Amino acid sequence: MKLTHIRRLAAALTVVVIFLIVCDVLITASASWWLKSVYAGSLGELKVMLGYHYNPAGMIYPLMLAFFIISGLLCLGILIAALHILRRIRNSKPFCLPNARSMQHAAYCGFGLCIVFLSKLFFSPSILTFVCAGIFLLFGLFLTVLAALLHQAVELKDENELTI
Amino acid sequence: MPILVNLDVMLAKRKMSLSDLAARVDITLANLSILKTGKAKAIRFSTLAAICDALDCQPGDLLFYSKKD
Repeated sequence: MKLTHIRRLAAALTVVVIFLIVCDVLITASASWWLKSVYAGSLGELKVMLGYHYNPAGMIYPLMLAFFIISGLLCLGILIAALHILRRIRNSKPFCLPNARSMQHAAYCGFGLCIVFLSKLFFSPSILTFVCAGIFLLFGLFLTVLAALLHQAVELKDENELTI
Repeated sequence: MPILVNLDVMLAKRKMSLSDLAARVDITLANLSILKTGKAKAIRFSTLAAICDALDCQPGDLLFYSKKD
């Protein structure tokens, strides 16, 4: 694939990532409102989709709110890291140390999301939550390996460039 | 880096400029500058041989090992 094609692809992906960031911020910021609506019953379908049950004692609400806000912020971290990586790819600097660092940050956010989803199992257990936790664990591990590989690639590139 | 490149000293001894050497050795001025400033991480034997040929010196005249750093 030519460099111009990669840049075009990166530009298209940047638009998608920016859209996802906007969605993430809106959903996270309005979590309190729509979660209350879910509990009030006006968003019943969403309640079924999210896979948890109505708790009349109302004890689960703050936990669910914390879950959505924390996971929203961690997702934002992944998206911002992706945005930085894509910006550097568009600037023709795919093999640089900041890219490896951004990838590692995204991996940490993935591990954080795994922990958040695992902790959700204690107050609102569902198979989907368990699967999501597994996916985020794999995501974090995969990105950690990829970041280490990129780090090594950057070192090799530097050495090659500085060999006269 | 404990290996020091004494290219500037040898150039001064031979009264040659860096651009003259670049033209003789067929290496870009930017690469020779990297070598001169000690930023280079490695040097190919072919490059070393070409520089030694152009400056009429031995590799030991160009490269020094320093225990400091």
